[in-house]
Amino acid sequence: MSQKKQIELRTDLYYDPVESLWISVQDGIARMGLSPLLQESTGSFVAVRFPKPGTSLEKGESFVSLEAEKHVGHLKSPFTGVVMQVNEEVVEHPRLINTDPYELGWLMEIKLSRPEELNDCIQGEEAVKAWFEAELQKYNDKGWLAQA
Amino acid sequence: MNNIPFPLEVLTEDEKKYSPDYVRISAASAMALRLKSGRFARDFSFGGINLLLNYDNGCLSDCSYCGLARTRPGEYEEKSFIRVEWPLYSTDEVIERIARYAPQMTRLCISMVTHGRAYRDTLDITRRITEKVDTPLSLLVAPPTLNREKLQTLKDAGADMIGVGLDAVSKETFFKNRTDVPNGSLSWDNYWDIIYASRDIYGPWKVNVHTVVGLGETDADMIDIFYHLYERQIFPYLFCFNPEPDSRMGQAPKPEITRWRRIQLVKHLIEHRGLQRDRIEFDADGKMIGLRLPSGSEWESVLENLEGGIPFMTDGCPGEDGEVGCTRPYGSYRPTESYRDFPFRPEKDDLYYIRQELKLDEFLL
Repeated sequence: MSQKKQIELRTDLYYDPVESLWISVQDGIARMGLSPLLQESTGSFVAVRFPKPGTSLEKGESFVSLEAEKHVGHLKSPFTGVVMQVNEEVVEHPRLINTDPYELGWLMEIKLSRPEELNDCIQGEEAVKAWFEAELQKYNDKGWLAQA
Repeated sequence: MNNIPFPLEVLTEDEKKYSPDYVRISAASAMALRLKSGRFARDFSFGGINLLLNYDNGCLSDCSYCGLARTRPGEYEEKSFIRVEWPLYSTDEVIERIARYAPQMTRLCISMVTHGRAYRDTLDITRRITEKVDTPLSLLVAPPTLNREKLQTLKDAGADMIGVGLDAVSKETFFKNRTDVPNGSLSWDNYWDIIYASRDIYGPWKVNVHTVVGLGETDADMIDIFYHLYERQIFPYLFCFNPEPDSRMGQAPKPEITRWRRIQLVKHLIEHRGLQRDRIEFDADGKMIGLRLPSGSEWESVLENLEGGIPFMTDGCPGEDGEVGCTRPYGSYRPTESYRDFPFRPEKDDLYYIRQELKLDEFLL
């Protein structure tokens, strides 16, 4: 018979509730990737496109294009800032986003021009857990998640 | 670092297991049955479930364009088919899911592969399905594994439609892509014997023949086979060649979009409006260069609203309501490309682009 799997939610990170991104911040630079729920519900990724390092972004501006087997979508930047680095490994191997969303599957780093925009993100174990549970329910209701 | 494990009620794929107890299903089917997480780029209902037999040594044919071809690099288990993964599940689990989601199901189909066990296992799976669910069931058959008696037995077991993946529509292109190949050659005559036997046994409009645009055929080849099949009350189903990476045709181009759209339109007009062949103009190479429609308001309306987009929807076996039940979303195009065939009725914006792609002003005489 098939085996059940589980996903892990890291609660020491910020989460962007608009696009379901995880965010870690160090020295004013935000590294981000897809939450495990977003990667699971999108399907197997086949292509990723990033802006070039040095590109200036406004909060809410489309900045990443993701293509999965049956889906294509654009992510909106949670921050105003400048693209410092993109993960070239996921361009070569987009499935890394599925297999290791928090580590090898990270997407890009942005230097924050307005650090106060972090206040729009969710942070803290209880808040993150509550948000994630609500998201889980929403994704299930939409039929995007497999069920036992 | 704080990690909270969230048990997701998600099943992982099974390891190496074979038919009849295990089957592959298309990625879209796995999503519809909620065996696999995922979503479609656009929101539409989907209930056409495709099952594919699975064997350790895979399909014994070696067609130049197919993802399952014997000489395509890689293990059979890892091969894509129509460019996407086909996850493997227990057959009974898949049938249980089909029963669970029965109201959403529109059409089921078992795809055989060319293999010594394919007939026996297709019959077994057909019986397992028809015992549990009422959703209409098609079989996409592998002619080398069948004869009249076996076709009849499959019908008696509950299959209501037969599909034959002829794919290459002329004897020449069939030979080049499916017969004159490194391993496992197929026979044009054998395919047609099974098409005609299926028509006898299953009846009018219960047999379909898959025809792929882009395997080296001319437009005239394609149009001629449409007429040939309609005259025999057999449906041609239209497919768009989509190169499978690493297959022998992996670097071949997809058919040009204008050619594809015109073939879709003309096929629809033949099937639904009785368009006569002498109204289609070809050049000396068999390329469709013009269409002379009869005058009258009926035909003006065809051009005005492009039949509401129906000609550009997926060709596939019907559900119980008579609408297309097998829609194969993103089967012959990537989500970033224009829909070669729409798994839903094209919307106003879609029709705008379809009209541009058709270039009707250059096509209508």
